[in-house]
Amino acid sequence: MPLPVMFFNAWVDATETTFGPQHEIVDENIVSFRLEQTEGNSATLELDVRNPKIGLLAPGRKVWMWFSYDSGTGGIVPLFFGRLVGVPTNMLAEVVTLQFIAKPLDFITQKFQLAETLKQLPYYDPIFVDPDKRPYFSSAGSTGDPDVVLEGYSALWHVDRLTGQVTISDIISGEDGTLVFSPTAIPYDSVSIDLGQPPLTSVQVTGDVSWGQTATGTIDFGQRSFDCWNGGSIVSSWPKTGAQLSGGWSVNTGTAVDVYNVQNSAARSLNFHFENREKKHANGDVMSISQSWTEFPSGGHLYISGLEQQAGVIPSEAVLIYNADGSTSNPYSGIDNSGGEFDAQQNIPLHMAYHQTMVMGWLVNTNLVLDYKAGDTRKENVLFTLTADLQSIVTLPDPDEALEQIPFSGADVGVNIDGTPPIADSARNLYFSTDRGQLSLQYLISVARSHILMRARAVNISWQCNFDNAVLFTLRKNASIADDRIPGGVATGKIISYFLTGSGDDGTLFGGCTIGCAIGHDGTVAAVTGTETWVEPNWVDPGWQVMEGQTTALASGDVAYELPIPEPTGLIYPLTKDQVLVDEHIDTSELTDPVLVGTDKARYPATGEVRTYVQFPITAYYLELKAVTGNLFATPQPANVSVLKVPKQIDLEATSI
Amino acid sequence: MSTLEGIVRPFQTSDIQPPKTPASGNVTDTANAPPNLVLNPGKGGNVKTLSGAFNLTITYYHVNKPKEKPKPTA
Repeated sequence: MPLPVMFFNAWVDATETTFGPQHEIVDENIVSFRLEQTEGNSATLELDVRNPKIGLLAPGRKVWMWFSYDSGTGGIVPLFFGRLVGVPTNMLAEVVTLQFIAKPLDFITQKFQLAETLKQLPYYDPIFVDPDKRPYFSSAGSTGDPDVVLEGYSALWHVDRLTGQVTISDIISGEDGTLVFSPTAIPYDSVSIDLGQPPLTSVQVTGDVSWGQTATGTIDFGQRSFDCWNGGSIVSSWPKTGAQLSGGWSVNTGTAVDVYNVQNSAARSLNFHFENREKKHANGDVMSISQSWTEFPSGGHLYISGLEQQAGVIPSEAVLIYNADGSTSNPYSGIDNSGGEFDAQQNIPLHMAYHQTMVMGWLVNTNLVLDYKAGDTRKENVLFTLTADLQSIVTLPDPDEALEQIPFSGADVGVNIDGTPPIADSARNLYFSTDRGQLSLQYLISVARSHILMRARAVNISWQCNFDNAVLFTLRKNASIADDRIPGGVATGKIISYFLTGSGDDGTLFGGCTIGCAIGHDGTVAAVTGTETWVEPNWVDPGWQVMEGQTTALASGDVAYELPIPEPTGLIYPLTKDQVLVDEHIDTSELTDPVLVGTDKARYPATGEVRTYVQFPITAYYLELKAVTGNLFATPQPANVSVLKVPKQIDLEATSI
Repeated sequence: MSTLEGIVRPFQTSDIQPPKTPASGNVTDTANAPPNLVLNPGKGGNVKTLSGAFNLTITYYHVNKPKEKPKPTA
């Protein structure tokens, strides 16, 4: 029995992509056929034909076919353009089955070209795509995986069964309209409803990004004056300009000035000699004076020891000026006598001698300015849960099926990705709160959204229809069905599969489709402006104000999010002194080793040498700073995401119609 | 045919299984912090001392007069 209407099939070359009258021929005798396409796949055609008894894949044979039919008033309508997949498996039979697929030769190229146009934030974010899988189209050879661009889109690839054009089609709303089927257009018994996998009610997402936090700057630690005994060590150990320190620090300016030049100062020896050259003398006349003494520079503490003396009249020269403040003292006081008069033994020449030890006092003026060159590692972890607003189809959903977790491990946002470092300024301590970071967050939400929407099509409805209606099916369309057996009486959904079939055996010719119905509650989510919390409204330009409770809606209008500012962690650049200062103080608690300031041997002939030691306080500057390199700072960044509004394409909660 | 020409989204074919535990912040604050920079100029220092001496010698003119012998008494 022939098919009910005239069908044509023409073997053609792959380049004959435009249907024309020349293809309205019958190259093979068709017994029956089945054309079908399911979501995510290319359309296929199975032709049962009388065995042509030739090698269908012989070199030089045409393996592409135009399949069309005579619609009557509508003329010849092409139905399929595809290539033969393989030789028939039942090649000995009188009727063999040929399989065709409507997949263009440049399918991969088209996908790469399309993927290139789909690499748009926030639906595609290379940060969260394995570098080896990031798709790059090139006529010389594309690389990567074009499929990854669909992660953030609620869409699937679609291949047109006639043109071979590769596009994407949304999984909820078809781009090419809705086919409406009334009850009279559908065989009553052909309608079936299947509840598929329970829907995904929530998705928990974590997304990590990292970057090397780098920054340079200067911190002034001020000027100081040290009035001390150990100024030499302060001068020598004070950080020098240009010195490299640990922890990312270096010395921008480091000076320690010895104000009194004590470092280079030395004692000065002086001498005085007098000789009486008068011709006549009387007892008591001074005949000669011989004196040597030491002058010490600047201030300090002078110690006297080793006093030797003979009795005599204390000459005025015996009173020495030695104190730093210019005061005078009697060097003999406190040594062997109370400073009173020596015994007047006129016949004994006056002789005095002693040693002096000067412990120098210092005044050191310092200045210290440090440079930092930060090199830390930053990590930021965004965390949110996206929950869907769905109708229930089970009373006790399996948690493993209703909940999904998607961990994302992001790239280093401080290095170039497609020519630009996403964080732009690597000194930043936060990423997701930047404009670019918010797009990354929107990408993660988009991925979670697409996961939920895919599973939200929990109800599948199938039916059959006449052939003329069926030829209108494509996977870029929605279809609706009115039937009082369906909750709510009507359902709409995306066509997820369709078929067209005809058989000469029984003279049947019809088609059918299956739609996937989302089981949401409809609705949209609007962005919330929030409340100004930093300064009074309108005091600053937009973008500077801190808005509490502000939400941002995705372009889809079905979900919004709020990104609270997290508690700061780690170092925030530009640095302030308070951030890095651990301790800064002047320490005078330590004493020097004992310093020998006097040796008295002559005065204590009976007991031998007596040495006098004195310890002096050490003045030390203590500065402890946090290192600005080698740190690992991690910041949790929770995000508050609204409920995802899902379309209501079937009302499972309808009470009655 | 789907095995021949499946063009599905990556996540649909992945083997990732739903987790058994809910998500949580899995990062902590600073870890393995490097040592701080410590500057301590003056620490352990000592003093600078200078040495000197004083010498003074004065001589006087003095003529010793011999003591007179006591005169004999009658």
